[in-house]
Amino acid sequence: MARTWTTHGGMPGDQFKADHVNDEANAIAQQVNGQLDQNNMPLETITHEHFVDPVVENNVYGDNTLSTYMPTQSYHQSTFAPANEDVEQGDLGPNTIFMTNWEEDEWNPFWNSIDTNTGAETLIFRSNEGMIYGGVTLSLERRTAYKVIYDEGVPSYFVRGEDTISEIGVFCNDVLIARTGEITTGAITIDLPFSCPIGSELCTIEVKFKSSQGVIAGTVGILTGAINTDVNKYFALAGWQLWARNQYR
Amino acid sequence: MGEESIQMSKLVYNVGTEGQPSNNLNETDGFYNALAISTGDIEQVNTRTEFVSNKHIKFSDDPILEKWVKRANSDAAPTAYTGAWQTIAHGNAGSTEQLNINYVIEPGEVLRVHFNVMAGPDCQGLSNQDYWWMKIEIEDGVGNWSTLGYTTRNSKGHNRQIGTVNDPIDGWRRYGISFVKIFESQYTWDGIRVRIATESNNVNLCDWMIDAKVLGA
Repeated sequence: MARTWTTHGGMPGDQFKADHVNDEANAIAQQVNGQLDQNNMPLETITHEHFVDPVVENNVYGDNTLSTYMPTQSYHQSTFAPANEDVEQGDLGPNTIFMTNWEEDEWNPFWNSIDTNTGAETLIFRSNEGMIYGGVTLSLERRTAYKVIYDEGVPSYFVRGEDTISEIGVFCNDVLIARTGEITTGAITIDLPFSCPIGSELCTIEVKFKSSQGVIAGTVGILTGAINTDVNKYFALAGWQLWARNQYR
Repeated sequence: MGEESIQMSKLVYNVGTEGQPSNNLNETDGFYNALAISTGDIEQVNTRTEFVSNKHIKFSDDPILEKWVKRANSDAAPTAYTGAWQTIAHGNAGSTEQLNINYVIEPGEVLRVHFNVMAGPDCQGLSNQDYWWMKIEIEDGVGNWSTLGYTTRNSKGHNRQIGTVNDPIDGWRRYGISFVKIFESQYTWDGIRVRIATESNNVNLCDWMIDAKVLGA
């Protein structure tokens, strides 16, 4: 049967509606207007062979970063991998790792950006509307103050300092999307996953830390004062990898 | 072409006279054509991916998950690891080291690895030499092992300068690390293993699970 049309003027700037012509053009109209999804495209028509090869981009928006843009998703990674095995007894270090001195450096009691001069602390890429899934595997270090308990003048045991905690947060376009909660002292590796919805935009994911000063509460009875050891001055990061996956809608 | 009004490469219509068959030239021809161009030249060959849902993808030919290697040890007996780098290999499921995977990873594809283990770092009175390290390595088929991500660093104790301040680092905890590697060039992935080293004395490990996937598309 031949198609027939009803006359309707095409006005500049107007959206094209199916009923401007007739119902027979409905499917075409939907496609023209952008609805190219389930109701217009047969299911399971896209197979492995239809996918284009991934495109890798190296250090486009920051040093030490890699991105691969695939047909259905994109992956991104930034890595800070300093030498961290050459250590002296009783010391942190070596100086290749990221280390902030509580007594000397300015820092914020809340979220601090990490500045390693490597560019790896942020991950910047072009996202498509959908979801971001990712994680950061990170080795942080914060050592404790201590107090010596004396028994009739003889040091008998030590008490660990209080309130020496750290926390790691992940920010997507400056919004906090994941945090570890308070982490006690020691050198600890954490594996923190995160996810959030994202638009088609330039997406920035950043890892930040906060840490508090070690305090020994009170000096009562036979207790001596707190001793802040040298290693207690530092908040250290012995390396991390931040990665993210953008699943397109 | 019975329906000459549609060409596959571009939306072109021929007819716009009321009540007449749509097979003689008229103004809708140009109207549709302009629409097609102004909406981004939408045609079959450049349909934008964000308009395609998972329902359109035929997953049975594995376009996403291309290779999956995994192994788990559920033996609860702890094993002590001491000193220089050695491969985690205890338990009832063989070693974390797996060879002869022999899978060619193409540029842009991603290797995604997770490893977790129960770790019991006992300070043992050693506080000034309390580091231990763990890393995941992959091998290229000709004996070259390289580290994924970075070498993680951990401690047995709280304070690195005095002894006996151990808690709550002492005790068993589940320790997990995850890394991805985006390949810039073709790589023959043949082996994977997890290694541990200690600065002094041992770290006890029991159980473990390793899971590695190559993701494409």
